[in-house]
Amino acid sequence: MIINISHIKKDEKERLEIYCHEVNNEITEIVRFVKSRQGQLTGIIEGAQYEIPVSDVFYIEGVDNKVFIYCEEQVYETRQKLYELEETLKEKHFLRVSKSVLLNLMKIESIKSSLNGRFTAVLQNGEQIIISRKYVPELKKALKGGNL
Amino acid sequence: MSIKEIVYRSLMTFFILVTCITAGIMILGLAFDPDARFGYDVLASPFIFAILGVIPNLLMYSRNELSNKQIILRKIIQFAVIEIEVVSVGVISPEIHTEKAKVVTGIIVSVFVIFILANFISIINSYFSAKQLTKELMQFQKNIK
Repeated sequence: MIINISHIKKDEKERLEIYCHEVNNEITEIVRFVKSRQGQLTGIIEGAQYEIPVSDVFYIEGVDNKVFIYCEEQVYETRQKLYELEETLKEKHFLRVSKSVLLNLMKIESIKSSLNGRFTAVLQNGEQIIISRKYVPELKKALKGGNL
Repeated sequence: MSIKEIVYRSLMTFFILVTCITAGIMILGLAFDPDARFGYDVLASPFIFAILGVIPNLLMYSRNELSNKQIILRKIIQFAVIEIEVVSVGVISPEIHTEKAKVVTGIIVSVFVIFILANFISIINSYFSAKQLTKELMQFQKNIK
């Protein structure tokens, strides 16, 4: 694939165009990556694709090699890997809080203590997500304005 | 819990236990043998019992994240192991009159009270940490909005 980057004038709108023979998995992956960088995720429910604004996402969970996006009421499946999403959503205030969960810090209502020195994040929709002790220092750093 | 976390939590538990055991020995001593006099070596006993109390913390080690049920089960086993350890030391030690049922009962009850107290202090500590985290989270969200 030939990659061509051209500089444009400040008043022109930035754009990404892909010229391809067919929209295969590789192309879809590139599109998904760009969308997630722009604050959009692609979720699937029963085969139908939906565009989800990142700000609507409460958390993302990996379960048995599948990744699910949890919004206030809907749950979408995504083909993106958890570690890819972690990387692209860093700047959107998402933080890994356990081995399988990426949490949107903007959707947490409060944090309460749990058994054995763990913490639980109470989300704005009432759901509770366990924060492993291992990830607590990262959370503290993020809340104090450190890099996510 | 990882080994690093176990060591950190064990150190915290150790110091909590030393304080609680010293208080426990004083209360038990005043109740069962108020006239006894000891040498300086007795000052070592809270440390020894605290080490005995900390070793079963290893039962909390797990590569995977434990569920609440697993934590409670391991805590119960941990408590039983501590009881067995302390009572065994009492039986071996000639200075502790374990032939008297009320002394053994006193030891068992003391271990229970100290176990509950140490866990309670830990819970209180976590509660205030969570409160502080929530405060920082609110500030974080306010700054972003």
